[in-house]
Amino acid sequence: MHTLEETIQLIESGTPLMISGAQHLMDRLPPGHWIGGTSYYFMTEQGGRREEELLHVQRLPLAVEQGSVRVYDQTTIANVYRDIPPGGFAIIILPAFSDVHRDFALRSHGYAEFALRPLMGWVAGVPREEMVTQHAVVYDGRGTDFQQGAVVMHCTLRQNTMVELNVVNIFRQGHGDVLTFPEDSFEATTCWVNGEPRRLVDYLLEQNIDQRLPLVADYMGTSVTVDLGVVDETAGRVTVLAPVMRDMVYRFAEPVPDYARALRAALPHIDPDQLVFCVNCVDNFFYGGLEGERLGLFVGPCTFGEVAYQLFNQTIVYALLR
Amino acid sequence: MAEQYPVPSPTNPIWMDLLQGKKNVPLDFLAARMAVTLDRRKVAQGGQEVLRECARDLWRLFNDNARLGVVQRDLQKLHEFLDHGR
Repeated sequence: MHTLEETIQLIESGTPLMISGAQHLMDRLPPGHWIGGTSYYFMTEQGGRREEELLHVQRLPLAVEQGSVRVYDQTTIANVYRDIPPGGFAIIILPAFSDVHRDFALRSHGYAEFALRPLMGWVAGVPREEMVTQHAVVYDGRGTDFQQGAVVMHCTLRQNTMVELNVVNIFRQGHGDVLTFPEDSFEATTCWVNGEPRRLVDYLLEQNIDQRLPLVADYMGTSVTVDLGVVDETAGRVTVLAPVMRDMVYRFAEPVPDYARALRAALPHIDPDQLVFCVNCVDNFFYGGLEGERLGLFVGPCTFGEVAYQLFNQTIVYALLR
Repeated sequence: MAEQYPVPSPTNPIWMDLLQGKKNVPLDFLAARMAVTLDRRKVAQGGQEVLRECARDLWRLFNDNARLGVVQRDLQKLHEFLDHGR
């Protein structure tokens, strides 16, 4: 973590940077070769903490030969994978709850050249108690900030180096009912439970489901979790924090008795020199009680969504330089 | 890691078999897990043209990332399937 003054010096050195922090600090950063977003929770070497007086600065690895910044909106975000240079990678930062965040979450797998080259990133957030009143902001270091645009740094790499993306998710599908949904959506009203049509709200109440547990889809061994957000019994609607996908098989997750311990146990041993990017979900921070807890090398902002090719929730996403 | 295992040709049936779930190779490459899972939905509702397009994309995913160690491990598994039907 760095003070504002240290961060300004790093920007002035010309090194390509990814910066995260509270808005009042981010707004004071000078133009330069950086991208950033608002974040208020961090995993640091000293442990997890809420932080509004220091900034997290991630230097891009020396193997990056060139990094060019582009901004995308809802009408252009579909080009994001295609724009990644061959042999390179890109870092994306999206403002939480923006149209571009929504489109990326729902449709990225249909964008041209999906996942062909590594796209990593995160969703900028706000303080937890100000989710209704404050907007997340992302920054193009050339001098503009956005509440509705996604900022992306496209990077070319030195020859013979590549980036490998990985996801850590402590949740696995449980052995309960199979849930499927009729459409890709952030709002779930009806669903099928073991093939029978049901209102999701009714099912949650009848089965007394622990709503802290996410729905889990199994992508060939990688768990993709969907957190339940607002359960509106009156409207019969459940707002989810990552979209449910049509025809995907979901089950509620197996309970995790000791969240922080499970997270630590799931972290791999890695070479610190290879780690070039790491973000951790803000849900892990809160549900896992990570304030004051250390996760070794896995430091960085705690985010409202993580990107490893596509959007994830309740994960740690990290990238290694190979 | 050196490229020990070549990428099967784009017309090799292994790509379509993976997408149709005829072969369930336990892949480790995250991008391939995402692509195969999501493309299986498309293939289930589309025709042969969709299947061919997705197979071509999957081949390209492996081809463009073949130097990664995790992709080499997956290619080794694909070759074992091709050689021995395992």
